[in-house]
Amino acid sequence: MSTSELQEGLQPITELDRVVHEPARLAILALLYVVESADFLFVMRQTGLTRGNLSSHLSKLEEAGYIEIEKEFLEKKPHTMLHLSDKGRDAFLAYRESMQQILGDLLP
Amino acid sequence: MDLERLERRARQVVESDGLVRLLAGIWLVAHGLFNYDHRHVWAPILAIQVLLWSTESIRQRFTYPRIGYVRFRPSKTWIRVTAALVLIGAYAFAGVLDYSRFDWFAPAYLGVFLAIVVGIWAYRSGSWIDFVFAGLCLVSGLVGLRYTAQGADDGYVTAVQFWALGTLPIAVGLGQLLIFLRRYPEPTEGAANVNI
Repeated sequence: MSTSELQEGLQPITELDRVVHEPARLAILALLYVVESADFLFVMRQTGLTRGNLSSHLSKLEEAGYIEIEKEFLEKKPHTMLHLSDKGRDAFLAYRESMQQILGDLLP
Repeated sequence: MDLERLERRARQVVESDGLVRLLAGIWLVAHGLFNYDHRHVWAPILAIQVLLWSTESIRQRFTYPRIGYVRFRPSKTWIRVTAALVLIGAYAFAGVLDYSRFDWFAPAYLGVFLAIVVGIWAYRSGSWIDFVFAGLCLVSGLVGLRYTAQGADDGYVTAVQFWALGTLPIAVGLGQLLIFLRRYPEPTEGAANVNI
C-alpha cells in the first residue's frame, strides 16, 4: 500500500468534526437531538457533567453554531433553554454517518 | 447509538414523576362512575379536561424545577388523528354493544381495549409495571365476562372493572411521585438559569 493510499484510508478519521467528537459534547448533542429543547439543569442531570464543565462545552457548541441558547420567562422567572440548530443537527448526523462508516470498515 | 431508545429514556426521566399513571387512574375511576350510571356522563368529560390541563401545570410546579425543563417534539399528526379515530370508534362500538343483545360481552371488550392501549403505552415506556397492568386489564375482562354471563348487569360490572383497574395506577403513581420528590429535592433558586 502506497503512502497516498494509506492517507486516503485514514482520511475519514482525520476529517472527523472535533467539536462533535469530544465525548461530553457528543452526549450533549445526542440529548438535544432527541428532544425539542431542554434547559441547563436537565442537560446537566442527564449527561452527568458538572456545572462548570457543561457551561464550557455549551459555549464551544454555541461558538460553532451547533446549539442555540434562548432566554425566556417561565412563571415570571428567567429561564435558559437550549436547542440544536439546523447546523448542529446536520453536524451530528454527519458525524454519526462518518463513525458508522469508519467502524464498519475497521470491523473484520 | 440508538436514538429512539435515547428519546424513550429521556421521556422516562420526566414520566418517573408518576403523574401520568396517577392521573390515568383517576380518569378510570371517573369513567367507572359513568358506567355505573349514565347520568354521570360529566364525570369522565370533566376528568379528562381537568387532567389535560393539570398535567403540564403540575409538572411546571413540581417536576421541571427538580429535573430540569424539557420539551419533546409533538407526536406526528397521523398518529394523533389515528388515536382520536380509534377512540371515537371504540366509544361508538361500546354504545352499540350496550344496546344490543350482546351487552354481556362488554367487560371482555373493555378489558381487551384497555389491554391494547396500555400495551402500546408499555411498549413505549418500556416499564414492566405497565405490561403487568395490560395483563390485568385482560384478566379483568375475563372475570367480568364470567359475571355478565351469569346475568349480572354489564354497566355495573364494567363500572367495577374501571374502579378496580383505576386503583392500581393511582397507587403506583402516588408511590412513584413520593419517590420522585424524595430523589429530586427542589434545587436552589436559579439553578436552571446558569449564565452560559
